Amino acid sequence: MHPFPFLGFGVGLRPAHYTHVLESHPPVDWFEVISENFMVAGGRPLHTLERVRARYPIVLHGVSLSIGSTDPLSRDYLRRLADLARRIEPAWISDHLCWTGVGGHNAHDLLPLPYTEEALAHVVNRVRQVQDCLGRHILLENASTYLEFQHSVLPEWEFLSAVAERADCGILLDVNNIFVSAFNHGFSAEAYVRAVPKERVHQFHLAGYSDKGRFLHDTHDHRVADAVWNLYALAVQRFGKISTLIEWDDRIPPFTDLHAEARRAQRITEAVLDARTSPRTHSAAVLDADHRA
Amino acid sequence: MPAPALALTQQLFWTLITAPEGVAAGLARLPPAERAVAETLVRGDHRMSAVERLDVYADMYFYRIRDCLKEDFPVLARVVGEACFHNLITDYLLAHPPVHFSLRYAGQHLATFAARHPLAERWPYLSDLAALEWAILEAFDAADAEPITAAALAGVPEERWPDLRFDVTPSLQLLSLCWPVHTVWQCAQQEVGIGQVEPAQTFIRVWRQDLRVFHQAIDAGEYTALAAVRRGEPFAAVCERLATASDETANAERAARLLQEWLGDALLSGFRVDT
Repeated sequence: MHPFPFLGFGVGLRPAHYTHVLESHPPVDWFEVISENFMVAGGRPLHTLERVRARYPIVLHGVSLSIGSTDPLSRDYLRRLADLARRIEPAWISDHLCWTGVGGHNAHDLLPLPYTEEALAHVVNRVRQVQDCLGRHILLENASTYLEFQHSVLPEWEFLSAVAERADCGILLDVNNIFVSAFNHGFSAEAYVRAVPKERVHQFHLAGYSDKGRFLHDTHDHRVADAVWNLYALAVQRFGKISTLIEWDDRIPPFTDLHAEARRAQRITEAVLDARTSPRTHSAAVLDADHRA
Repeated sequence: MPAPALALTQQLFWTLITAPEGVAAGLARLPPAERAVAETLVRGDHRMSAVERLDVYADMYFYRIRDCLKEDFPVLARVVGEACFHNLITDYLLAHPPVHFSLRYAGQHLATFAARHPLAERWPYLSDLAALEWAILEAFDAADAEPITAAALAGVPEERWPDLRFDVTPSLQLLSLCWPVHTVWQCAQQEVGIGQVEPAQTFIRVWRQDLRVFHQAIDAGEYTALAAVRRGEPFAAVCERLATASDETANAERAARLLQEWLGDALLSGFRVDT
């Protein structure tokens, strides 16, 4: 598998912070950008990205690969993504385990798949094609979902794991999405974390959700919730030191607040890993200490 | 009932979440055979019915695109107000659901669509305003090009100037409109009332310089000349078009003055003299 080095604790790069990042060079380990925002001919977006790339590792995170759609894979999309990757030399490329449109249309949303053998075979085949086309392994992220299909025959974590194993791709485990989907569908988030194959997970996502009462909405407009930090600690216990990224896309705070979330992820990771080697410490105490920090 | 194939699942899902009057109404409008499948597609539970869960996706589809278009057409959104913009985008998405992989192109047909929308009766300049805002977006991320300078042209012998052809910067957009929407745009920027807008033939050039997008109203002569330059016509022909369009006799001086402006605004990115 293509190497996925440990990049540390990064944040999503958004236009609201371009000036700060370019002028102040904050000590962030790495940035992730939405690939499609930079699959353009020129101008400020690409100019900014190249300047940021000169100082920081970058990961390209896509939202329109539509790996699960029954529409043909877009060769134009893949060519442009490959062009961007040649230009930016990202640490890796990721997208979502979902579909985004059908019949030539694009919902610009991460739509859920039925977890069936047919969908599994379909996605596995397409991941292989994408990886062949890009000449590299990709990571696929578990999306937040708000419904389940009646005819699903696998739990989501088994579907995700099977895609990764059969297509030989990596997993971007979004800890917040697990928490959101677990609430929305009444499954165990902890069981999900424990079921995903350890050697396939190469990145974590963390973000804030909105509580809509009857369901949780993955809005990326809040701090990471305490319960999600707890789940993150469990994930670190299981998967070890994994590149971690804070996403914040709406009601975007000052950069220092965003960066503080990445630092918190770093403290939790270090504390959990320390606790592994120290029999007198356990993760709950680690998290309590983190809250006071 | 056998499990629906993935293709049918996605087709029904798409139909339901893009139904303009909501998922329940979209479900009711399906032919009986498809409705029977669609009704058993999604699990409902004590917290939310299947329809309510699909409605979450229907809302996300509409509001994400509407919010994006509000960012891409901020002045148009401001002119018509929240409710009318909502209705305009509802109608627009029915006619033009997004087909591009990037949200950036979701509004590519809005100017054409707005021209025949009922809102155009109240705001007849709506389509032209959308065209200006779309041109600004096009200029924003058009391909880069290094501008040429006056010094680069100094070496061209005087007798070769009539044969000189230029490349224009890829970000240059030329608009020929029926309404002076640049004034509407300026009012919105300055947050002053827009007032009555009278029709007037209007030419606007939009371009990017040093990563910033600019636009400027120009006269018919400059519009015609710049369009000729973009088509690759030689400078002599550009001067002739300038004279015809602007009814000026001193067209050589005017052409030289315009050329200086174009160079200053980084509109030209190359030149050649055909041999």
